[in-house]
Amino acid sequence: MVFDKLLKYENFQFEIDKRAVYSLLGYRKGETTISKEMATLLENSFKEAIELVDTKGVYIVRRIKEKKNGISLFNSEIVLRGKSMEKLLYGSFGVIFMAVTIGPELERKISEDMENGSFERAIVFDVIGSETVEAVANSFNSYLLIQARQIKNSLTRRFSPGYGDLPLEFQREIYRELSLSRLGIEINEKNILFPYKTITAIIGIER
Amino acid sequence: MISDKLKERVLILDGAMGTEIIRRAGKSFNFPEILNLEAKDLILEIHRDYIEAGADIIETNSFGANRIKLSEYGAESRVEELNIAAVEIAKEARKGKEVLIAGSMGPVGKLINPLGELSESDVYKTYAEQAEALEKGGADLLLIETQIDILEAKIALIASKESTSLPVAVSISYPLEGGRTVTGSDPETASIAFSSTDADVFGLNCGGAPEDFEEFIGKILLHSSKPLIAYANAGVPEKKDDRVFYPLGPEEYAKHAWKFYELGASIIGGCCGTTPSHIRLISERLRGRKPLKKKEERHFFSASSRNSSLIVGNSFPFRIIGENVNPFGRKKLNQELKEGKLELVREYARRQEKAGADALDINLGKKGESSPEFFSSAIRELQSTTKLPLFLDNSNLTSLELALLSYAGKAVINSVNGERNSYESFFPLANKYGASVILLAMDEEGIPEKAKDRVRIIERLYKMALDFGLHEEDILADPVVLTISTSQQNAIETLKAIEMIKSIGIHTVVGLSNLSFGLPRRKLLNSSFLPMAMERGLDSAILNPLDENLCSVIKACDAILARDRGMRFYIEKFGKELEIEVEEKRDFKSNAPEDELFYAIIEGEEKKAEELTKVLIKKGENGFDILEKILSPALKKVGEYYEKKIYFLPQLILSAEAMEKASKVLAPFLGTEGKAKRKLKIVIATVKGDLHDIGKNIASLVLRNYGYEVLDLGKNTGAEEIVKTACSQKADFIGVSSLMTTTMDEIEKVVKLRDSMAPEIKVVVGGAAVTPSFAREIGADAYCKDAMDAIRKIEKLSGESK
Repeated sequence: MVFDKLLKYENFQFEIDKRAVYSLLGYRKGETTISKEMATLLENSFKEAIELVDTKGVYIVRRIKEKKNGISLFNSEIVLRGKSMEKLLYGSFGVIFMAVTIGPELERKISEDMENGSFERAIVFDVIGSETVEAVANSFNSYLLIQARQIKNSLTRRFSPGYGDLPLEFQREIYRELSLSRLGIEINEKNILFPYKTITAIIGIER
Repeated sequence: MISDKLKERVLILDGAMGTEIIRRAGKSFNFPEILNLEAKDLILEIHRDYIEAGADIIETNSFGANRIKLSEYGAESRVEELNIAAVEIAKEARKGKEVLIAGSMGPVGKLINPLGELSESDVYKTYAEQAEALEKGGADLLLIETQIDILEAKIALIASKESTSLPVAVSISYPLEGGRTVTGSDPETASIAFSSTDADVFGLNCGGAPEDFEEFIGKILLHSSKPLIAYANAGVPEKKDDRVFYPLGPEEYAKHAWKFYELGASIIGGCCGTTPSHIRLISERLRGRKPLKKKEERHFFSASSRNSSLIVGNSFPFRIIGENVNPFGRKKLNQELKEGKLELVREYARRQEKAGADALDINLGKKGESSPEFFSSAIRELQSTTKLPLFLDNSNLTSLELALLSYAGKAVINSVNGERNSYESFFPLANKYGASVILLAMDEEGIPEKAKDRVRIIERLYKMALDFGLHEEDILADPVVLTISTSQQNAIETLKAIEMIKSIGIHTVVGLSNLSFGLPRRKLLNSSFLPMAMERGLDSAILNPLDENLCSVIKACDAILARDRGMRFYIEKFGKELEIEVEEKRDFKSNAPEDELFYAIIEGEEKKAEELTKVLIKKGENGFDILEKILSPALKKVGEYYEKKIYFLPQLILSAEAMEKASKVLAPFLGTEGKAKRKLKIVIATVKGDLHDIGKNIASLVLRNYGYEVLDLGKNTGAEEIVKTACSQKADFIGVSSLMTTTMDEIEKVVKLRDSMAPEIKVVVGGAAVTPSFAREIGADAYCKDAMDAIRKIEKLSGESK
């Protein structure tokens, strides 16, 4: 675990949970029946989507300086406030800020499909995209866990802005901390990231 | 010396040095090696206590005494001094006793490119320097220990062997749950990587819990015939009052040590947290016992990368070695390689891995042969691109050697043939780096026509390989596939040769695609030949893993020929493929276009729906009737299916799209009846700041096809624009959605603006972040879960629920 250095991680090994994709699309085992054509569409979409995915991850590890009036960090202006952060980082001496994305190509394809009226494929791609970024985040998470275990530390669970009392606005701070513009990620005035299929998160490091 | 002793009895290694220093000194030292000079007595006492406890081997206090580590303390010029001092203390401690001194060499603390910044030669020099110093001081053996990267450990081994004449033990650390090194090697993979190197002892230390060692030892012994060294921590460290302590006492630890012995370890001691009391107990129980390790019969071929391994053999599935990284016949790749680029190479590697290849053959054509640096840098990059083991398809000795030095694992040299300069240079190379080889049925006179002559070459090469120190598991034989376009006897001879080579007990591989060179339908020929070759005993082939049919044939043959035990892989691939029930087209008797149109909507067949609508119009059907009696009921049915989960979302959308196509055909023919009934108008948009509009688009599509007039303002739309448009267009409804919590305030703005500008217009809201309670709070008229829900809510609000 290297502190205060922005690190990249690219060689993701992950598997998309097809079951989850089907279920997000509304498939219910034993109830839903689908045609051969539809099954083929889905299978092809899985294959195509994987080709369009360009996974990238970046993270930085900061040491916690103080835990009063919010949690302050060494070498960073970020202060983590609120009950959620307090609870998550209760036993932590360090914090990992992480982000993963699957790149803009899949979303570009989705817009294209929308314009061409292939709504059905767009929605399938969209759901696959969501599952993929989740899978990638999990794979990234385990990679970080490996790093931590090596120095006999452990990690808290992953926590993303928009959950608990950590506002979605906090994405902007992570965005700056991780220089996400360098990964080609954009953020708009409402603190929404593009590509959408990007996850930012905070993880605590415990001894 | 050590190997002779091990034939007689198990050897006891000492316990921890680092934690023992802390325990005795009452504090920890960043730089414990300096104690060899500054607190000699402390180290001496520890050694003596371990010897007195019964250790046969003691480890010098030199774990971090390498140039890279020492430079952290500005002591990089003191490598020799500190290592020699470390050995001197150990020598003093053992005076008059028969104890071996192992020179401890820990990791350099940084990783090798591309994982880190070090070059292979940095690492080589660092270990060579330390090893020389330890030998000079008088160590009896070297112990490369607690290694976290198999490449570093391998380079350390080669450096130690080349710069000293001492026996060398290599010990890897698997610190994690799931049992992998920090750089991702599991015990089996690491074991293969070292199985054919000239390490004298191989094993594991430090890392996870001692009970994990029990599982790992079994895995290591599957592949390693070397004496196994095992020394674990005294349990997983716990923290108490700010102090780290190791929970296992001597009695508990000794039980694990006994287990290590029973499983086949022959050098046993302790790592972090163990003390002379631990070692005493181990020594009491194990002293004088003979190692239990049996010689394993291994009838398979093995290779590995840093993170995965390849096993080829009779009772294993047929192995696919990807052929695509080869510029022969691939123009684009050829061009790229000429320019010295590797993008396509990496892409091909990735694709083949995804398609299910078990290993990859890497041939970089002329450029790879003529530029050793290019070839080795490609191999280095590929190791971070793919996790598969690599076959180094190159005949330039320097290219191969550079690549092998940077290769983490047991690579495969493709290939060695019966020409003197080939085997005389490649076998020693394989031996030095612990690599595997492919023997090619070719010699100075070329490739013999007859099977028996090819087999003769293979047999001769096989014997020589063993003489050069290679093992059965390092050797594959390639009897050569030639194209049948030049002689139809070619394939028949190859088939015969496969059978003959297999009967001697050598595992086989061929380059498949040559078979069909110059002929039409190459894939057909390749996939027809392969089952025949498999039946004769072919174990693996270099082929195109992107050929789906071929790969399916392989899976089927594996099942038929009992290579795939329990047909696990066959069933995995073709059996449950996500238990989705696929239904054949609904069976309906009528051929009447009216009925067909009805089903075309339900099945979501756009083209058919469009065509059939045209047919009906031509027949003179009334447009309004078509809409009311066929299309609307069909879509309603789809809605019902969706609600009942018989349909899922993509099907609903397909039907709505089919409906859209049919409606477009119908529009001009709807006449006065259609217009008479005023359609409800809805303005729909995704709010400002929100760029995600899939849900909104679907709602818009479905609403349109349920007979609403939809004005879609798109995404990122300001509240004012939405409400103003609704007013000027005299809309009945506004529908807004937002995906994220940060844009939900925009929804509220829309509602507020509506309240002041046009209270008669109803607002319905939806989107991922929106909840029913939020909708109520801000004063929206309804919350819609999804597109079908929107239809229901809007119908209800307009008081004309059908």
